Amino acid sequence: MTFSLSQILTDYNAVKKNKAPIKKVKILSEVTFQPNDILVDYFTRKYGFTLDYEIGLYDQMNYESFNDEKKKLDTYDFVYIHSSILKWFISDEINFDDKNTTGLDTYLENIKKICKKNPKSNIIANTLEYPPFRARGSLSSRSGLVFHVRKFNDALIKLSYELSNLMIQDINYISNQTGLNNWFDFNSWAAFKQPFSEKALVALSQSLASVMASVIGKSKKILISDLDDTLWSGIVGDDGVDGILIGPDTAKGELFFIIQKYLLFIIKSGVIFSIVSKNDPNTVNEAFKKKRDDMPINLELSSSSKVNWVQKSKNVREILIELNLLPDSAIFIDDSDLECLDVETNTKGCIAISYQNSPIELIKKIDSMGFFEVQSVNSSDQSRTQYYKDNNLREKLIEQSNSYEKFLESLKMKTSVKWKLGKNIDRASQLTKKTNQFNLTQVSLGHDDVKSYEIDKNKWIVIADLVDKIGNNGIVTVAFGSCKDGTLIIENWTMSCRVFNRGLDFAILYEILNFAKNEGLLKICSSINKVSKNKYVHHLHELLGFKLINKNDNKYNYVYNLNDALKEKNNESQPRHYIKICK
Amino acid sequence: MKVSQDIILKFVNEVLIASSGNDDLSVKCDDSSETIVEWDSLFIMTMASSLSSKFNVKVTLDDLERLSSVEGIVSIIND
Repeated sequence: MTFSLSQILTDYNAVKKNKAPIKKVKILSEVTFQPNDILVDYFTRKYGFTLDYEIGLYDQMNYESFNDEKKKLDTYDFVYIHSSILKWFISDEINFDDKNTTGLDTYLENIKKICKKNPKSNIIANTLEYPPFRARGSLSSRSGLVFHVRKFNDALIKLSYELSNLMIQDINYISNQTGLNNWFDFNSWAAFKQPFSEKALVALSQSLASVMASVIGKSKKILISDLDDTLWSGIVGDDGVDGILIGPDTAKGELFFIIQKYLLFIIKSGVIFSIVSKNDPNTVNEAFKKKRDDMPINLELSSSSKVNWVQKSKNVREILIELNLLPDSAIFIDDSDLECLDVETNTKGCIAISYQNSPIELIKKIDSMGFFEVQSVNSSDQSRTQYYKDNNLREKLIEQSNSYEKFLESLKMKTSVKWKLGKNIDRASQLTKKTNQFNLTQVSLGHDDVKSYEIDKNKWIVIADLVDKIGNNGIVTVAFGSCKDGTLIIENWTMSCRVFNRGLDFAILYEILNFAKNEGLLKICSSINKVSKNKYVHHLHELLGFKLINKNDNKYNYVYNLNDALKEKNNESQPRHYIKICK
Repeated sequence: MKVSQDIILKFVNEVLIASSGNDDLSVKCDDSSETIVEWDSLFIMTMASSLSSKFNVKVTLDDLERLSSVEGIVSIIND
């Protein structure tokens, strides 16, 4: 998975013919942005969306942001504020001495102004690379451009904590990773004011695509891993438990220790982890047990494990079905190219990664693609593995129950429905962005949007958790909308796939009905934008008792008359749920 | 070893389509920035950046003018 500019350019013409949801992006760049436009679009397609660009004129960021009132940046899904240190290296605006104000301070101030002026935009700004030269050597770290770059980057990152709509693309790290000597192309800068080498263009574009994906919740959700020569060195079935190498005692074992440590960081950030291995399950259990002290990863971290002799693609598909996840949310890693080919061919959308020379390539590839990039990690992310493990216990309960209804009843489910979000604003925002399958209209909310729904008298937002005798699923659903002319409008409703088929949709609907009734409203309007990813809810409205009013392309509009609903309240044909509502 | 003109022509065409978005373009041996509107400075910049990974050629500032025609690009790669 190493990309070259020429290969991307030639592949792009075929790739761009595949339709994908479009996100609008405004580029405000201090340097020439092209050909990054092609490259970023190439990489965002790996996350299932494409970009419609408006690229601002070279070095016209201030004019386009502040002087041109006609152009509202709020209409874009992303605004990318882009610069490179080369622009500042040649600029007189940078004071090489330790004066308080430099051009970079003004630039930072302008980023702040743009964020504040456009609170609804997802604004991405990049940190700056270190300069290609240090006229003063190491002293530059104290009183030169290196110092100013550090100061600017620290201030930018700090600003991103203050402004919820500002996201960071850390070019400083990426340029270090690529190597500063390989980062700049001075000929390209001299001729076109495009500062980046071919390697830099690819790395920068990959990184921007993964930041964009993480902002709108399109980062990958599950990592499915092989075991032999992937999580440890050796083949446990042939070499025996004592023959596999993992941990600091051997050089090979140390390499796999680094891999496991990296994967553990990913899992702790909220990524679901699963194991697929062609092995005897008892041997694998013994290996994890015996090597426990040497392995950062243990079997308990796996939400679902398939250790058997079945074709791996079949196991991968089964895991995805079990966890209610889509194939394009999955990354599969394996030392065998053949197994990767099987999984990619037979699980369309899943990306499979193997290695050629060193197993470290596995994490290099995952890392450089930014597949699991996140904007924040909340408590729900850190508990995700437990949520899915609890679901395995629930699956066993289903098998033991006489009927699905008896199973639901036996769970003793409770939900706390909250119309005031408190500390859950980020989780509510995350649910609108990350949820694909139970997502009616794909309208997502940023942190400040969520707040506005809570504050505005004519708007409403509701969240709920789901707790049962097995465990706490955390906050799993959010619905929001407005009230106008006697009508409650549901603008969107999302629910985490880990609580599908538990009746929470009915429970929440009844809560919304009660809310509307108490507000003296007469009907509820809701719609669904039917796309392939939300097939799960294509018939939700009918199930909940809504009536179809009209449809326009993929958009279906429904109404629910509250008078009818109240009449039917005691009707036994009305769908039931087994969830106790706690206020 | 010299790269065949057909391979170079195919690559020029693909990059031109990618950078311009015009799928109908079909570049011929005698084409240049004079004959194709989409052959602009952005395309020249993209070609300059991509020749290295495709043909292992490092474009210098002196070469830039030659990127204005198919004939020039062929000469940069093969000379």
